[in-house]
Amino acid sequence: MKTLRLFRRDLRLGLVDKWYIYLLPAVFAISQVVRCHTTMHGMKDFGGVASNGTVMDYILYSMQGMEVYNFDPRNPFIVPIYWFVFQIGAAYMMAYYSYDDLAVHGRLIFLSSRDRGAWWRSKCLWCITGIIVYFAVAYVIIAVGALSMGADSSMCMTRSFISSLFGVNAAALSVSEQILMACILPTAITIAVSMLQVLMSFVLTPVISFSCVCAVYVVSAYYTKWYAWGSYTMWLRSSYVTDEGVYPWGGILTSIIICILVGFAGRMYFSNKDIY
Amino acid sequence: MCERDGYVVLFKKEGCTVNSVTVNKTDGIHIVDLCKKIKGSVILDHVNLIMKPGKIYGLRGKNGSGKTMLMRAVCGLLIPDDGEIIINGETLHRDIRFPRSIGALIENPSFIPEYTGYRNLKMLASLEGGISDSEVCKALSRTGLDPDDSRTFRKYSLGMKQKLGIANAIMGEPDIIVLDEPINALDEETVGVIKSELIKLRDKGKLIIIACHDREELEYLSDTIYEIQNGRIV
Repeated sequence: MKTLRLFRRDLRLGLVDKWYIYLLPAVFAISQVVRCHTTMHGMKDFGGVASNGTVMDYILYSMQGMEVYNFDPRNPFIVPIYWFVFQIGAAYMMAYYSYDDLAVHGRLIFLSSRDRGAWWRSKCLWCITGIIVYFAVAYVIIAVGALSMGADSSMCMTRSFISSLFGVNAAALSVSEQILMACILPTAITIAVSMLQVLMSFVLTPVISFSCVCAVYVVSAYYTKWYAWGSYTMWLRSSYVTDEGVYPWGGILTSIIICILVGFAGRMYFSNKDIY
Repeated sequence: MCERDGYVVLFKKEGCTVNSVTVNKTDGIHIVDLCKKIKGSVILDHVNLIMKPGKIYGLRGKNGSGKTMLMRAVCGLLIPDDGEIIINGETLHRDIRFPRSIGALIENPSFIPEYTGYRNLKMLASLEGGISDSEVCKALSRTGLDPDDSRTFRKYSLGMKQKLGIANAIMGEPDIIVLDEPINALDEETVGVIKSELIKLRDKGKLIIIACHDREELEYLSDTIYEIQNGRIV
């Protein structure tokens, strides 16, 4: 009950009152819809695709990230900027609220709620909800944008478009696999990274914690490894589409393990933390 | 062994004896051998105190003497390195994480700047549970604030912020009220109002702890005054 009361407060102060943070996924989504439409239109002109595509085409285009990178002097490493900004936006959203809430309002809140565990649980719930809303804003705007561009409302991709655009074998991908690697997995991994970031912001500082997350995403863009968690947020690096890719279910498991460990670690940390 | 109010108080691990008569630990606050270090500095050094309901206890001491830290420890915000704080028979951080009924104003009250005083208190009351809207209004009125004031906390003067902090501490009339420098930044008239409210609360059986630099005010309000130096009760 106390957790829910605190969670309601966190939703109000950390999400509703900070609505402007959600402009970033909105801008990201709009820019990706425009880019995808332009690309599709160009391919249509050359006979590459026959239709206006589907909502799933637009989502896959938006959440592509980058292909597996192998070092080559003729192929310089460039961080995929749209993906990076989108992920960093989520990290920025999570950077300060929890830390400030403890530092500024900690005494009042702890004395009113009289429950250290409930405070941390509500912060975890806030983090999960914040990221889900962040991704939901992007997906909804992509879907609405795609429909307004004349795309079909289907959640099944146009195989000719995806195959010719990304050079992947899309024929074998089922709808559930597409949803898993383009929608569920990026959200789940971002939730796990954000929860870890929130906990680290108390142990280190919000700035160091945010910098660590930025570093994780840059490393993830370079390496396609299970421990470079950002790789899971790029479906072009999924084992479903490339042999060198990461396993989506491994990503889901990784995110669940991180969330559970962070939850327990935070509980232990706050049960013995002095509140000044 | 230490002397308090003319009594010889002997603190033992398993209980507390005053003039060789065991004190009932089920009432009030019993602090036994409380120690706290922060980053190697001794903040509280073997503090022993007994505080009873229906009394006002004053804490006096220089800046950095440990008054606020002692208050934080009583509130359950600080985890002791050693010793015990027993509140109404329950040991803090063993039986309970926070005192069951406590209101506190510690240092500068930090409310949400964009909310009005009423909305701030209402939000805190909702977290606490069991405090009605009328009690929120009553707490504001008792400190001289208008519950219908549409100004946000950001626009409050220093004195109004202080009043809101006191209103929060006394909201719902908790059994223990901890006030750190409550009359700072308050005008003379308001100081009078706050003093009479605290005396009313004491008469209702509430245990009140006050830290104050104003010697006269502290002596007027307090039934017992404790002097703290370098984390020790002297």
